[in-house]
Amino acid sequence: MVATPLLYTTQVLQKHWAFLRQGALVALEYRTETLLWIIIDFIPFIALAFVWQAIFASNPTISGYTLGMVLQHYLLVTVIQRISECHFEQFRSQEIRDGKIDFFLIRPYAYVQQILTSEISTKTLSAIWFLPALFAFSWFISTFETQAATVTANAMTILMFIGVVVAAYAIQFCLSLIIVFLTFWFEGSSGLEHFKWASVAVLGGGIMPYDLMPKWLQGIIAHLPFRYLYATPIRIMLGTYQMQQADWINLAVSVGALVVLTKMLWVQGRKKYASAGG
Amino acid sequence: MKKYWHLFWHFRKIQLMRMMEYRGDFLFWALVSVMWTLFNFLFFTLLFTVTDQIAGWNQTELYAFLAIYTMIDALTWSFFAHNMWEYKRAIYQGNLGTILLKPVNTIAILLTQTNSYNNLPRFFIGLGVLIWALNDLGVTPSMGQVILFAVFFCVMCAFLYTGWFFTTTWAFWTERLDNITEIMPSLRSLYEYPKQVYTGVLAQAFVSIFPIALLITTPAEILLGRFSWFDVLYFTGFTIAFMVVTYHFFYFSIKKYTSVGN
Repeated sequence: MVATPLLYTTQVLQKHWAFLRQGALVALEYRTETLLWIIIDFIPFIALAFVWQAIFASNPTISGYTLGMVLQHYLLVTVIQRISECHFEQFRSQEIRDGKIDFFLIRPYAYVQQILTSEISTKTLSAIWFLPALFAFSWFISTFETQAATVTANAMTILMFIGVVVAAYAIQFCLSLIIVFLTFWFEGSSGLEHFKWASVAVLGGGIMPYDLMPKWLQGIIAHLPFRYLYATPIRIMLGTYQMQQADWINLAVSVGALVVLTKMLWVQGRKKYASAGG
Repeated sequence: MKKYWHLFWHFRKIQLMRMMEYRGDFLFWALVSVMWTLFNFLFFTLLFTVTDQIAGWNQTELYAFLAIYTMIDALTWSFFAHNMWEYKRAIYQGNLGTILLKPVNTIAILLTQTNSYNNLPRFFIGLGVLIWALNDLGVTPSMGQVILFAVFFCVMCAFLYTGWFFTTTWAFWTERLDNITEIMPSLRSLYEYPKQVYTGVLAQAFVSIFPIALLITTPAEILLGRFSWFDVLYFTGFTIAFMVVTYHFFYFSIKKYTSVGN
């Protein structure tokens, strides 16, 4: 029987759906762990809210920012972090080191696809726990005596925000994959995730609002694609930045370059891969 | 007591031999730990580009504060974390039986059996910055202050390690919760800043009910000569009570432990 395009598409979708369901089942199995991670992720922001409150105690505005705007910055950081951050480096590197990826090399489902579907399932399910936590955090920061920040979140702004955050996820996903694939050459490559976290925190603009950073750091950030991870989407939502055509081109080139590099590492890395008995 | 002293150093020797075996690994992770230290100092430096004081602490005073945080953090990742990861693994994989059957105190083994030297450079960076900051502030602590600081540093370690042990012991009560050992590290953000930044109900919670906000603030204030005896005594008393509760909690929880084959 000759496979029609429709049949082929249905089969592909069925395959992806099966992996998404499997990922969701695994995520459900570790639901308490997921909930604990979400709570843990909010703790630094609670402390930071108090620190900025102390800073703003003597200055009602700093470089045009009010306490309300800074707190909104961190609220948006928690949302973007949940959507775009990837933390599979250690586990996946271990898989490669232990020679446990044979399965994906001989079956018609690529390893990268499996990582992606598993990520999407986990992120979707964790939203169930994340949303109440986000509301609780929003309520918490609303208890601070803040001057309300003006947010001009019209439909276009939200669409732009979503577009940049999806691209940010692609960047983070590729960076994590690069770290994982380096395991084919270096055993301890998963440790590079620490450099990724620190670089993303500082150069991504999540650590503090971009406009409050010193000029020298702003200069560095403005030349790196990391700014699309936190600084740009947050500034879009706060209405202090508009995406230009050059930004979209930069973003597309950055994602494209990372995808090509990831692909190259995967192709070359597989040649170095060895396992026994898998 | 002599047996435990000997055992403690024997464990350290084994870990040192392991470190020498994987020297490249040691250097890499030491670099990672130094990177995080620089990251913390960079963050505080960035904060001081928009203000000249935070809750009554100027920049150099906060560097002294952060130096103490760095020293305790070095011990956290060198010692507390590794032993507690091992403890959690033993509970979930059913290997605790081998430790329970040994003719030594179980808690003593669980608290000392392993460590890592990767974070050792951080301790010395912290110590160096502390000396520099005190010198820059023109503060010369008296011998009494230095002794009190040293004693309080031990109390801080006891408090933190008890916290780690207490939270990890909950592993007896949960089917599978791998990140149970992440609770204490996540609380680091709460004591990374002076207690004066906290206001309202959470200030009461972090200073009086569970005085984690006093952890770094009190020793820093001891060296800066503006500490409160109430804070010192309250924190010490709390730590002793916490240790007693945790000790009993461990022996109560261990009744839940089951394993097969060892």
